[in-house]
Amino acid sequence: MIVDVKNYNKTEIVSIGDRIFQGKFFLHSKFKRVTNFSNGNSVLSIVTEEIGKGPVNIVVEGMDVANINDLYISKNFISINYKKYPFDKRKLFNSQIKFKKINTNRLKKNLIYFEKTLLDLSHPKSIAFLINSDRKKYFITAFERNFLERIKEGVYNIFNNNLIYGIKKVKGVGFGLTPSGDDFISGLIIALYVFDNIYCNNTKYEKLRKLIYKITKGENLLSNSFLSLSKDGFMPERIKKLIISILYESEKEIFNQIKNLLLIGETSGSDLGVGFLLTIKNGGILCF
Amino acid sequence: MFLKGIIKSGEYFDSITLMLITKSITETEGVLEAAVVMGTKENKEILKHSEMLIPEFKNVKDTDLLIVVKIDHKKNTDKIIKVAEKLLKESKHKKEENIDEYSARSIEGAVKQIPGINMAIISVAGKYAGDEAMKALKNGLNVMLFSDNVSLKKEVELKKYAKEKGLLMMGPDCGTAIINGAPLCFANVIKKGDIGIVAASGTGLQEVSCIISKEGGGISQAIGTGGRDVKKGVGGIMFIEGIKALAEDKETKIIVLVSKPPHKEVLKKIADIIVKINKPIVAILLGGNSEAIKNAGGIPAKTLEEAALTAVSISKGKNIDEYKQALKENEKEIENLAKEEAKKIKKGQKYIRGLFSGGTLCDESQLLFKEVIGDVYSNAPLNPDFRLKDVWKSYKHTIVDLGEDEFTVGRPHPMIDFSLRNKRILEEAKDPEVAVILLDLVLGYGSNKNPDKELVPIIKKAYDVLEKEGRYLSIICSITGTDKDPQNKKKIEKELKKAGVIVMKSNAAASKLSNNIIKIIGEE
Repeated sequence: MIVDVKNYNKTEIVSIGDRIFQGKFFLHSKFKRVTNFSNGNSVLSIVTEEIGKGPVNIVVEGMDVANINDLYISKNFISINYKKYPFDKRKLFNSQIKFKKINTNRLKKNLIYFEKTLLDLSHPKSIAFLINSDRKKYFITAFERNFLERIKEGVYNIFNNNLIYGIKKVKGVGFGLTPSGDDFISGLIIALYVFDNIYCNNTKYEKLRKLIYKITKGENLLSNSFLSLSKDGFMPERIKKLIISILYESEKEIFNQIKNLLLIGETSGSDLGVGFLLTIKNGGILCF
Repeated sequence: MFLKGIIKSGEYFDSITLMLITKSITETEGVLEAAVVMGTKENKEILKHSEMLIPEFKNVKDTDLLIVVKIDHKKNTDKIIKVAEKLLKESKHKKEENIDEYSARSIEGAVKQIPGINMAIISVAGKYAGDEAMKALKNGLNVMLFSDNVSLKKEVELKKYAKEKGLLMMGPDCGTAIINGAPLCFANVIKKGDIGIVAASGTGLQEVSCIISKEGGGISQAIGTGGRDVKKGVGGIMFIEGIKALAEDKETKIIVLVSKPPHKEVLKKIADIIVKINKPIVAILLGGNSEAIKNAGGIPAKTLEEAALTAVSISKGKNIDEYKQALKENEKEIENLAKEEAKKIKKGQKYIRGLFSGGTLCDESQLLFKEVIGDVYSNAPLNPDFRLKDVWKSYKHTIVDLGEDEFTVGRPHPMIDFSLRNKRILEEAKDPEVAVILLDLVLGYGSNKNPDKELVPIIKKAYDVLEKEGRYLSIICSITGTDKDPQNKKKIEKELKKAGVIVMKSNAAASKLSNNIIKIIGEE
């Protein structure tokens, strides 16, 4: 048989995030490859394999994600559009990084490579103008120019002893459903989490992460959920793999993981990457 | 000046979509400024700072979408708001096309819905594409598989099955075809005629078919196979089947074969089939062994242009030596033009920088350059020793293919999105050692709809930079397209020439002119 027709229309759950919780959910928002559900406080997402694993993602195969309207999760099963799938713990995705000893020289070298590649590959309208001012030319309308100035001012303050003021300037700023400013802050929080684990080991930044989350939290459930998970080190597979590559692996792997992060096609990946990079670089002064 | 805004609740878009909608609204007549953003407190502060905050936005939520336009006359208000709403609706419709209206959910469904259909174009993630293609073949459909990242094993399986069933299996990674006069995916509006093409190269097929059309010839069928078909792994299954199909096709009188060099075993198969076919066969196997073609009774060509002109000569019943004479005359003109250009170039300017969107055109240019000057640096070099260490920076003579993976991550293909090449044009213009910038411009369905609007301002900027620095350099371009393409080649050519670009008849001619200039200034 040339193709296995019998199994062709199989639908299944490929991965379940480790921060998935039980309950009945209502539809929040729909995109081509993602349908978001909420219980009013938190968000869960049903996604295709292209979007990938994440702490609150249920990755499915063989389903038209944009046509999913109903989600219920119990201890033993996940019901999608009234069809029950077993809650198979073997499919749980571990969204935290297992840290190992760091080679500081390699990390420094990898960060330089990460910065260069992020700049080369990121979308022109991402906030990569923070690492190369030539990018300002892509911000044309009055809103875009003021957006750029506000982000610049906020980020300057974040890294110059005026953190709270800076975070307030950056949060919530941007175009889409997850504003660029919030993505930047997620990158920042993740960087602080990474610091805690590779150098300080005394949860030095834990309070800081909680404070930043408290200031940033707004009405946007998606941003809140992502920030909250980031502050505790729970992250999507794309980000987890990227950070592992920067900490421990080769330039080739970093390139592949940046590509993966940016493949989704929006500015979120770049904005988060910029937040991570600048925080690591600035934090480096304290910790290296 | 007036401000008008609307609020949309429960409408979710990604940032790029909103930026694109903003850009489109801003380009509408009568609009001075526009912003389409989520209604966060912070975004409202920016709107206030931009003098675009209206009282209606006071109580909006983070999750509300705000559209605000600054317009010249109050009378235009309704019209512009309607435009904005339409753009949003279209964008939403695009995103949710599988939700709002009925469309077939499967290939079987599509076959039932449209009786008599005989072709499927498949463009889904590579992981699924192979299975979808097999489904289509099993439903009796010919397949054009646009997707890449399909395994070699799957490609062979698909092609063997298609061969057995007498169906076409074009691709994977097949971007161009013209079937029964219909241009598919990236293709041009070409005259109908008696020349059939089999191509394992997308832009190669486009260049050859466009030149044929311009020279008064026409295409019966143009079959793409995907580049990997002529490699050892696939063994030329569909290339050979394509030749056989055209040999049997009553409308086809001449066959043109377009490819990068096939594997020697595949070349042997091609030669074996050429011997058996009683129709003239012209072959351009860029950089490949032309002797095997010649010995089999085919007509080898050295460039895509030469292949097209040879086919047209035969189609029109002319002696094929006539086109050779025409090419010789062209070359004389090219030499004279090169002399004129070389005079304007200062001492110290010595390098060519080729910035290509078409992979085959990039290869052709490198081959022509190799003949005159030698190997050039590239991200896709003919000689591996000349691979660029940093693809983002040119080194000495450099010709890059901007359609390669390293340049297209997170961006559309450079035939659609010019931003990366535009940036690079300016960088090359600023380099005091550059003497020639060589470009291709591929028109047709799927390509950038307004190439002149994107390219001309950059060319002007480049010339401004050069003028300030008291330098000149030749910006040379070929246009792969026809006057009937949605972009209209004639119009684009006129705009480029007006901006100071030297527009040549073909990629080969543009490359030859560039080579000649470099050769002359090198000898001085």
